[in-house]
Amino acid sequence: MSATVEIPSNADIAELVSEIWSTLFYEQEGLIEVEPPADLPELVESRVSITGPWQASIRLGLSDAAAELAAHAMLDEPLGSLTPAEVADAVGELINIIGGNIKSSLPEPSAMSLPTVSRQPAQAQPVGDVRQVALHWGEHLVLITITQTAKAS
Amino acid sequence: MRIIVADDSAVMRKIVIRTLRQTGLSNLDIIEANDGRELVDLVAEHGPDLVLSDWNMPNLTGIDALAELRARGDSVPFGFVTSEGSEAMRERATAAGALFLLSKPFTAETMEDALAAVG
Repeated sequence: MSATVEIPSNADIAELVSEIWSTLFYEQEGLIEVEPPADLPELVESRVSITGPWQASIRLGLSDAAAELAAHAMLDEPLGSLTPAEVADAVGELINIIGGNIKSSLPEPSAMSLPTVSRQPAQAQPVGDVRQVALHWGEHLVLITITQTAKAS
Repeated sequence: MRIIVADDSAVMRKIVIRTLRQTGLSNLDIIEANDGRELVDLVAEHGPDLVLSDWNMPNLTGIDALAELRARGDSVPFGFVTSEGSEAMRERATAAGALFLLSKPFTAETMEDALAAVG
């Protein structure tokens, strides 16, 4: 049986990420949706892939400062006390949570990869839609990009 | 109470352990596992009172680790702490013998609610 699976809307993505942020970072400012900047700064990017009726990569981009802030807030540690590996681990866990929550709304069977974190991610080759949602976390940019890598059959 | 916390993310293990301490459980003896394979080995070695495990892990997933434990006749109380909480996964977890599936992100309150299933 074939199925058409819609890529989540920007509003859905923004709402979901904001809810996750408010749970993890309840002592910090909330997220505010903004227009994606024309010139993207270099970002720490974490990524998961989803396979199944809907195939896509889901990426979270954070500035170095935002990645540091997120990791230290997640672990409730003073800024500057974590290693780069711990910061990368935390950023990977953030996309794991975001991707897992998106996956939960998808038809089964779907599978999600383990997260990867890099500064210069490989460029996806989009077949279908691409969604990009930019949010401000105080002065920091939080960028979510969903690239559908294959259409549902 | 001896608890094995299994997650391939060291950061998430720390968050789970910190949240466990916030639930008010006392005399916690926490053992950490990096993946499902290590989880199965540590259960055999330490005989914990509870296992809290991620689902999606390298080497052996949480659900496969649970299946292996039950196949060995080990009935250790087992709960999932995972970013994926679809109804199908919850049903699969219950069918495999898990007591609960706690979705990430979680709070001390939601973890406390989940732990109520342990009795």
